[in-house]
Amino acid sequence: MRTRRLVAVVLAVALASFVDPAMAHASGLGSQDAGDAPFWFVMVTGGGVVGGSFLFATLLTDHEAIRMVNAWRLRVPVDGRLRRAVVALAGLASVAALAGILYVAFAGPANGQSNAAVLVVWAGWWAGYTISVYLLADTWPLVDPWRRIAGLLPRFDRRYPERFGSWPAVAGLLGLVWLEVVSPVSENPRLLGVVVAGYTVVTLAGAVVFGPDAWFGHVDPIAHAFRFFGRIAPVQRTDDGLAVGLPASTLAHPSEPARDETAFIVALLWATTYDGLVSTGPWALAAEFLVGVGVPPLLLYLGLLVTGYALFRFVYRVASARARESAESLVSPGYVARWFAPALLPIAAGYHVAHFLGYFLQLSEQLLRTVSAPLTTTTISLVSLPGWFSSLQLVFVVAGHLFAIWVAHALSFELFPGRLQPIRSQYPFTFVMIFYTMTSMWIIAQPYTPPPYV
Amino acid sequence: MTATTDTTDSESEKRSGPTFEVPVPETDASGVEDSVPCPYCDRPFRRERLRDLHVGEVHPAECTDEEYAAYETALDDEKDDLFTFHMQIVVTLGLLFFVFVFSYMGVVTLL
Repeated sequence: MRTRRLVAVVLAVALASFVDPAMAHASGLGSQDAGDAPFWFVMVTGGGVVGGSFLFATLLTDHEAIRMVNAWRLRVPVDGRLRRAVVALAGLASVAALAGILYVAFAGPANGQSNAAVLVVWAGWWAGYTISVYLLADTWPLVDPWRRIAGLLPRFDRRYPERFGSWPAVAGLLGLVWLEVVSPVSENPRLLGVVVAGYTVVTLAGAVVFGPDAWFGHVDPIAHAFRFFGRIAPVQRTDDGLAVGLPASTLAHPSEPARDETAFIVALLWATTYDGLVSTGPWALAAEFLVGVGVPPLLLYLGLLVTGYALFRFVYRVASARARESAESLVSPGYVARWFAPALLPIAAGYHVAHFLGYFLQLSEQLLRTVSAPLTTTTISLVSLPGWFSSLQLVFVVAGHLFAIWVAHALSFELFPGRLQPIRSQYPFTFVMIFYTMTSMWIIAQPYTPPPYV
Repeated sequence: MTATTDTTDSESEKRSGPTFEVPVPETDASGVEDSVPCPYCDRPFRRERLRDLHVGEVHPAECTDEEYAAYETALDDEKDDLFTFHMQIVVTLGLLFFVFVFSYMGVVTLL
């Protein structure tokens, strides 16, 4: 209960600081010992912070200044020899890690909690490493073991059917999330080994048939996810080294948006929400009811996955069409959707960090213990997190939306002329975002309920 | 399709525009009969003022002096609207702030 009050105070102070910075420091909201704020009020405050930030952003209409902030870069040249050495070492290490994961998955302890492969894949890689990709830099091309192995294999370079676009990656991502939810792959080391081995075989075969560029550029869902998450990162790769900019500023650079990027970005957003939604109490109740009336469980989870994705696409498409109208523009609705899609990425990242940072920290000690003794069974030890951590999660959700507002604000000035038209284009998106913030906060705050029937 | 802005015209050198290529968006003007196209990239606009703003912003180096003057007029007109708009925003932000602070106080004392 204390945490809810804390969140309300943090969010109220954040809201206040947008209006009057002096007031935020002097008001001392925390000093008065008030009662607990109910959770719905915390949610509404989160939505209010997002709406308020949009209003605040509308006061910043100096196009040159917006461009300057986003274009600020600190260039760090990297010596060619050093670069090649790092690339070679990272390649060897990543292939060794993949081999190690496969070996330990089958030969290590059968109990997931003491199997290093399970901990490395879920806590180390999907939680911790992914966080590093969007908070720091996209290092995946450096350590992608499949791409490294594929580079050594022969290739037939069969033409990749362009009409499929990135849809295989969308299907692959949603498929992996579905598998993670419905199967014990996140706790059963042997099954994890089978999945990793299967993924390896499919990926390498695809890269051999279509060539690595086509495969990792269109089909491989993991490479796709990291490429998009990596665009948020402050550190970006340049031709002669690295460039450090402000977080998410790369997303604000106007470039011809690729046709099929939106489908994947929306899938990434929905995948993070889906993962959280299926472990809430209300979903468990709904699932029990639907399975009770005869819906097969696996189909139910697949149905939710597909329906939710379709709903997200629909809402985003409607918002884009409305944006065209509120901005009085003649840019096609599809182009509006593609143009603003990068702004959705910080929302997905904010949700991911809210969902997985705690998981990673709790399991971090266990991760180190199992990796240092991969073949022995150890007892589980969880790092306990302080009580205020759950409040921090809500702040992460809101923060993702604030970055999204800034990116969309900057992008709107590149697409629409003048200053009022760009601002007006953002009304529908902001409206949707306020509700999405509140929904995500609700999901994050639900006590974990194991998804039933799977 | 992209529109490049190079400053070859000596008269327009002081006009600043984007230093990178700005993509020309795909448009759909079906059902809009009186759309106004940009003379440089054909992008249609619903109103002349928006077209003038676009020409000055994206094609400052290529456009004629008349077009640039039209841009500056449009910018000036917009400034007045923007001021009114910003006043509304500041009032809304203030209201939002007080509504939240008061309802926070209300919610924690009542519930």
